[in-house]
Amino acid sequence: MANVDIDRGDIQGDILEAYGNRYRHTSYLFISIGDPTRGRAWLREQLLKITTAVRWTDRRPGSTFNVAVTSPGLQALGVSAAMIESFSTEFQQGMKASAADLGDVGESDPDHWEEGLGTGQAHLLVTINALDGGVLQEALDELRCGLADCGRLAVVHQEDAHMFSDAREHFGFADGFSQPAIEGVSEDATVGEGVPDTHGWRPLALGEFILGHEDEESRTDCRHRLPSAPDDPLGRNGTYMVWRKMRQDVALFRRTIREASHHYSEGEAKLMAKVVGRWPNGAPLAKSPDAAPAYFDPRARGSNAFGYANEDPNGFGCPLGAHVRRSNPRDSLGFDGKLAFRHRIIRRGMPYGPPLEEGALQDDGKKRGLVFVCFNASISRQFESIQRQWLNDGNTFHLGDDPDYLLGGTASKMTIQGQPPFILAPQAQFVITRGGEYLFVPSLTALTAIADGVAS
Amino acid sequence: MPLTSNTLGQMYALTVLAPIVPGEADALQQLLAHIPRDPSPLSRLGLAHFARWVVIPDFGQDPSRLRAERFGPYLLFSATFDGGLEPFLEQLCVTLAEEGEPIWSRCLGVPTPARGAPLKAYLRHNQVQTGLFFAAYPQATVEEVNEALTLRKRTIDFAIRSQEMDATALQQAFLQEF
Repeated sequence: MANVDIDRGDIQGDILEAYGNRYRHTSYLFISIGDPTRGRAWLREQLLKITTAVRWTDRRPGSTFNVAVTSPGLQALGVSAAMIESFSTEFQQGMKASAADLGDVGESDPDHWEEGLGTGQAHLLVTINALDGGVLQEALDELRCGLADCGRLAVVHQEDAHMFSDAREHFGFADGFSQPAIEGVSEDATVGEGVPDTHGWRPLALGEFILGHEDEESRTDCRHRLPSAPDDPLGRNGTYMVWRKMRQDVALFRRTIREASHHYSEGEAKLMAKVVGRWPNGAPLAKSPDAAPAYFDPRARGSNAFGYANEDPNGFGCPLGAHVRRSNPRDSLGFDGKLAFRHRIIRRGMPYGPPLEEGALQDDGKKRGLVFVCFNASISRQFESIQRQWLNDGNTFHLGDDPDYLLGGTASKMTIQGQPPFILAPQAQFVITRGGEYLFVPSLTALTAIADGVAS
Repeated sequence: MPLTSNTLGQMYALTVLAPIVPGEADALQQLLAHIPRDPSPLSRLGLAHFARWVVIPDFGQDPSRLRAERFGPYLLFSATFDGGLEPFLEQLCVTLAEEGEPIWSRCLGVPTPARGAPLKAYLRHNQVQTGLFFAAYPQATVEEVNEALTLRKRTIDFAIRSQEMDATALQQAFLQEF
């Protein structure tokens, strides 16, 4: 293991740890600050509650508490304009400004987003993970009381999400287990999840995900310059966060695949797996192209140790346009994976709403989907590049202008490579964006500085 | 077509560098920023693959030097298009005269009105050699690219429609479509 200096006490805990694996309930609360002084006073009171990345030695706490801030939020807390200008452009402009690039058009247009999102009212995001409903309620009550006591602070949007018993998302697939291998954090899963190099695979530099540390570019820079980050004391040990609420039309997805499978010789289950690139239990088609293995533990060591360049270059196992292959092409773009490894993100998604009854093909009118959360050092280079270049356009994969079939798009057809190939016809979108924000997750040092008015 | 630094295959790359009237650079920048994007008026240049206007505030790197010793501001126009220079200049100076005039008229020494034949002469006068440029499909015209995209879409639609057909039906459908 490389010698990486990680100040776990300064880094917020939900970045490097997937609390969703251990906590069944997650609530996201967007808070609006009406007065900078009161906002800072409230923030100061929360400092001791914030869960850091320090590893738990005995019992895990009943709940965790983390805070992120939007660009309007920095302003609402009285942070100086000069300081705000040191943040990345896309963060300052907000997710709404990137709507066209992100594919948030038509039904997903920010004009149709849910209340409080994309309007500049969402200033802070509090994320609470809890072991059970009771603990969650206590934490929420405490938060709301604190806000009321402080005055001029209000919750403008709340989203409650929860892990399903088998860690599946609404379409029925195991989700969230494939993550980048990071130096000093998660080095045991480098094969397929790190960077392929001459000696096999190595983990990604910490600076790809936590600011103030060397990233992949610093490694090859003779002066080891650090990646661009907000000015001191706000930048170091913080990172950027993307929060998106994605509604899923499960019935439409199931109907579309069922109808198409009437003409597909290998059946409905396989067709659905081809769209995703994995079987429902998480087994990758690149390794198990014919049928799902009876047992597959997505979290087991080596379960994600695969590439496409040698195993499946033409997409006969995992189609070239399959969702997981597009969102993380691994080594499939050639050049030994060098075109992909700087576009990795830490994903922390969580489903909201009740599952649609198994086998149901008609919508039950209930709202359901995924709260997509990711962390990266550069929203434009990492999250936005994946969205724009890989998911919303097919050129990189020699797929013309085909967008990702699972996330949909108006012109979304999908070719399932085979002999003969099978083509899924365009259909209405399965996934609609209901709102989102670009955020910054400050370190404890940075939160203290903001609360103390140091950055004002 | 002779191979010069301005051509590749059947494509021509035009580069024009024109000095901006002192004090007008910001206004020009604003004007360019507010040109509609979707569709852009540049899309009416039927011969053009790519085209852009760029305001270059200053060529000098040393801010301590007198402004007069530095060079700028300049307006850079560059475009990649089909065929020779003259038909494109015709489109740029005549077809796009309405949108182009307020832009070109902020350049030093431009004729009034900044459109038509006098503008063509001005642009030729301010042309600089492009040097090296890249074109992904130097033999294909804009028209051919658009035709190929249309054919691609027709082929895909046909492939989707015909997936379940037997050989006879497929042949009939193919002959009917193409």
